[in-house]
Amino acid sequence: MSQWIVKTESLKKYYMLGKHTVKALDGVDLLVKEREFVAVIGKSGSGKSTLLHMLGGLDVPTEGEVFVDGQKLSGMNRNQLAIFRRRKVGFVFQSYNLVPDLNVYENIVFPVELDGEVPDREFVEEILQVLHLKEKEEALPNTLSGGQQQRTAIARALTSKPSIILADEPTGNLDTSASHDVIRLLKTVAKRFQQTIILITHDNDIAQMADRIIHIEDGKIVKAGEMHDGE
Amino acid sequence: MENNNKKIICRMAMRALRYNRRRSILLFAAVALSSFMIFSVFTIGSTYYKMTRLQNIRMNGADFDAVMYGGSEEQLEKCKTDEDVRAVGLVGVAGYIEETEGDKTANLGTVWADETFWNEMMSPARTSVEGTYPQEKEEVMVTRKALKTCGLEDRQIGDSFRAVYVDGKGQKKDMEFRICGIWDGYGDKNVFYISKALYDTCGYEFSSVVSGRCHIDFAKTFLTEKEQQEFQEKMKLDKQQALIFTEGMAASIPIYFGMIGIVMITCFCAYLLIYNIMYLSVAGDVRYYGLLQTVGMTKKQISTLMKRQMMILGSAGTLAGVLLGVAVSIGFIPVILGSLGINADKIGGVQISMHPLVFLLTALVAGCTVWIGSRKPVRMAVQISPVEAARYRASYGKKSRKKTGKGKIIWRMAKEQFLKDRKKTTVILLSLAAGLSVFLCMVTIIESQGARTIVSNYMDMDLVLYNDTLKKEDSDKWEKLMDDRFLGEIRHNGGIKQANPLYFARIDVPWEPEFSDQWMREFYEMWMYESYDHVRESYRSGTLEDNLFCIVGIDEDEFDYLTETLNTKVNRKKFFSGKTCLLYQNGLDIAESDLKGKRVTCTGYGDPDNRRTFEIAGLTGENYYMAASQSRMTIIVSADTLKEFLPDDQITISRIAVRYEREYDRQAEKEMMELVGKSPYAKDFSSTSKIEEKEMVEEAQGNLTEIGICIALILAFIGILNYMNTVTGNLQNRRVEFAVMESMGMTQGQIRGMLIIEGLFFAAGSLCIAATLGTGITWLIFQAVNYRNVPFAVPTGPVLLMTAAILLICTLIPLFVWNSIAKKGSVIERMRQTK
Ligand SMILES: Nc1ncnc2c1ncn2[C@@H]1O[C@H](COP(=O)(O)OP(=O)(O)OP(=O)(O)O)[C@@H](O)[C@H]1O
Ligand SMILES: [Mg+2]
Repeated sequence: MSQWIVKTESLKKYYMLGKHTVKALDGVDLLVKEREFVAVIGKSGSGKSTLLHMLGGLDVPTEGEVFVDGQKLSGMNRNQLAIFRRRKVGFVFQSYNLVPDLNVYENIVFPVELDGEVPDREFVEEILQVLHLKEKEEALPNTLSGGQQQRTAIARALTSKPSIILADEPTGNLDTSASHDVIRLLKTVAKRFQQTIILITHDNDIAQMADRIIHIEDGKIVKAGEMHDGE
Repeated sequence: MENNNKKIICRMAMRALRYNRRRSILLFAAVALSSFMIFSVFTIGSTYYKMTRLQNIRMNGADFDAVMYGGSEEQLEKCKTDEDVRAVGLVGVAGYIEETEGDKTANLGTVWADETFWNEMMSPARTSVEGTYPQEKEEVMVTRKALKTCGLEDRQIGDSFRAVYVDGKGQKKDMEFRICGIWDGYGDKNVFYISKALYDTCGYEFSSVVSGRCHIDFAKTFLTEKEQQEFQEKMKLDKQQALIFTEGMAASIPIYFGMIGIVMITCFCAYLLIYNIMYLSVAGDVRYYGLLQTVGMTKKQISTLMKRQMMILGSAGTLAGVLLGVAVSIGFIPVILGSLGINADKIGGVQISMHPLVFLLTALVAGCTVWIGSRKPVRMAVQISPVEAARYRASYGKKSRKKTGKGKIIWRMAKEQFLKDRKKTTVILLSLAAGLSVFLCMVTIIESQGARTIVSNYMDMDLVLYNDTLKKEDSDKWEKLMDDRFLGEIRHNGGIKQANPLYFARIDVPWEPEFSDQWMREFYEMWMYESYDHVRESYRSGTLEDNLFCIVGIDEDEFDYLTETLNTKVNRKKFFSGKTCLLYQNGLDIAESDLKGKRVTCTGYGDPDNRRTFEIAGLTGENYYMAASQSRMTIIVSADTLKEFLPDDQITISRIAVRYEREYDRQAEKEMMELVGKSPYAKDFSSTSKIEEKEMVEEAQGNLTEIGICIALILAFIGILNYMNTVTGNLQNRRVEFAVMESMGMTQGQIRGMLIIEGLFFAAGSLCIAATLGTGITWLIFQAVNYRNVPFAVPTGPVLLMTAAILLICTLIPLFVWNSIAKKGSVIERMRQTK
């Protein structure tokens, strides 16, 4: 029996839009175990991205608590959150957010360098190899195709060996076979470094590769799947 | 169709201005500030020009550039036909009124002025004139003041009065005068103007330096030193004659150059700011301009659209700047001119000159700056192709870099950012450096001017007390204000370090062929209007009426100081034992080598039996030793020698130089003044005080410093505006990037650190430019205005202050801007914002 690593308690996020209140998240209770691979699916606008942002400490919930790796996010200040993200979380966003000033290699090792550490060159090489980014190592983001940018973002999320990888449709720009390759890689690496993955996807095949599938509808979890121990 | 087009473009221009409010405000501020500067400088310049002219005219009492003492027919002819000369006005000194029926001791000069002088040269200095210039012998043109001096206050035009007139030969005539006119204005008003008819019979020759004053007005506004020299040579002056140029327009040439320099730097700063704002705005709005073309706007229309925006901003800014300039000018110009050497009180107030040309020139210069500054960005906007616009992604790096840099990531990123857009970086650096350089230049020159203007007392003493009665012609009126008891009281004061008296007595120097004959010849040629040959016989026989000799005694301190300034060595022992003496040169054309070793024999005044002979050991030109009135031959001996030579009652102290224990000791000065106040002759003392002098210099300079700093601040402000605008735009563009980095775990501290480093690069860069280019330019300007050979030194205090200020500004502004950006929402919200 392994421990949970992510836990939310009646998590709510409301947006005020004029007179309307958009309930992006409306009371989410979620438990994710260590080393679990969870896929989140749901309709567009159902609140998947919002949930992921809350888990990564990028946004503040309207109500409720988020615990990650034993730490309560609402109790942290901005700096602690930044350091938390740098060390614990690897993000892959829906729209691939790379630092335009830095080339591919620099983008990938950026969180490591922010921590003042020397990147593990061999490991980075390996990831570049698998993600087919070897020859783009020195290219700047604005010269990359959409898929290449996404792969760079994935490489970055893996490099700092975070305990959790939060991926928001990481394969949206890739063709089917390439997407499957990337997810398989993600899974292998995660296994090796005992990482937890929470991945949002619209692709049913990809969702099937996960340990568990969570359905979200109108800001609520409607089906959390069955928790089972590892493989 | 055309018209409709124009309307639409105009509307779009207004909309664009309103939409980019921040940009519009900055551009407006830039134009307004610089046109304010340009307008102010032009107004100050033209007012200064007018006022220096007016001041010269009023102080001199007439409009002329040079005056020649005496003038032969030949010289006058040469003057009048010289092509550089615009006019020649003649004034002849014609004796004086000794007494009138109203006042027994009237003592008022009379002069004759020719038509040119009276009608042309004097009229700008006159405020009113009634009646006409005298024609008849008994007619006089007067002022109220002159009438008062003569005790004739109540007389009017047409009234007659009796007066004793002393003519050039010294003959007194009891005459009846008639007032034919009264004038008022500036210049010497204590004088009667007389007719040519009377002048011709007064016994004076115009060609003599005693009477003739030939006023020359040159066609040119400025005469260079060389031109003055040439003209002087052309006139072939004889020994007694002098040609004196009024300290006028030429002296202010450096000030005009300075003003032009300020206008140029202002324009340059404004240009940089306008260019940069427009450039940034075009670069950030490529999509917008591409879109305009996609929807069918022609390139010409786009260029018109932008030019229209600049025109609206430019004219509004110029107007605001000029209005501000008008307001400020009215308040401050008198103060500024005061510090440039215009004495408003003496010339009856400053009239601010706001010539239409000044407005026009300001508009022209500001307009040109706006036009030149926006030309390139407009061309850039026009050249954007619709396709490019669709693909365009901000101005992020164009080429891929080869190497991954070394060093800390934050340093690397900051450096990258600094070097990314070199043009922008250069513009910012230049505009910051311009402000810094002007500041550097101002403080350096003001500092050196400070050293220049302090003219201290002889021997750098704190206070010198003078016996003013010795200045009176009539030696019977000389009083013994200061004696050894008085000196003792001064020395007794605890705040006094030393007090050096100068003993003074009249003597006779009998004729002898070796020395005194030669000396007197030179003396007469230089100072007297009689020729020496005239009086030589009476001098020789000892019946010369005037007493022209005096002797002064100095103490050891003064001897040491005096001999330091001489070219030759003076034997101390011989001087103090009474064997040798020094002579005051008195402007005479005699070489020291001619006199050295010769002997001068003197006797007590009216006591030919008391005889003493000294060997001449040297000559001094130091006019501290100029005795009571100018026309005296002064022999300098030691105080003890003097006391031994003459009886006490013949010796007075002409001045006492006092040094305080502490320099600028106000308490000591107060006590000295009290001591003087206790004397029965308190009114007959005069003094020169180092404290007073210092205060005067400080007062004059205080203003100059403030104005200089104001100018530097306005320019620095433009530079800072430029920097602020760039930083704001830059951070706005990068805010998503920052959010992304934050999402990846960059802390606030790391972001701030990066911004500080970027700021430091700018500070260091602009300081480097200011330190090299700025110092170079400062040096050049310094050399151009450095008359006194003050060594070039950049003042450390202000420079340190400036360095600290620029470091703070460069690092605080980005932090400040960043804080306002970072406050806006959570990381994810900021990541969502795309431009
Ligand atoms: N900053 C915001 N302000 C207002 N409403 C927002 C904001 N962010 C998200 N929402 C709303 O919250 C709801 C959930 O959005 P979210 O991005 O989580 O959806 P999603 O499930 O990720 O959709 P998709 O699959 O299309 O990415 C949406 O209705 C969205 O409009
Ligand atoms: Mg989403």
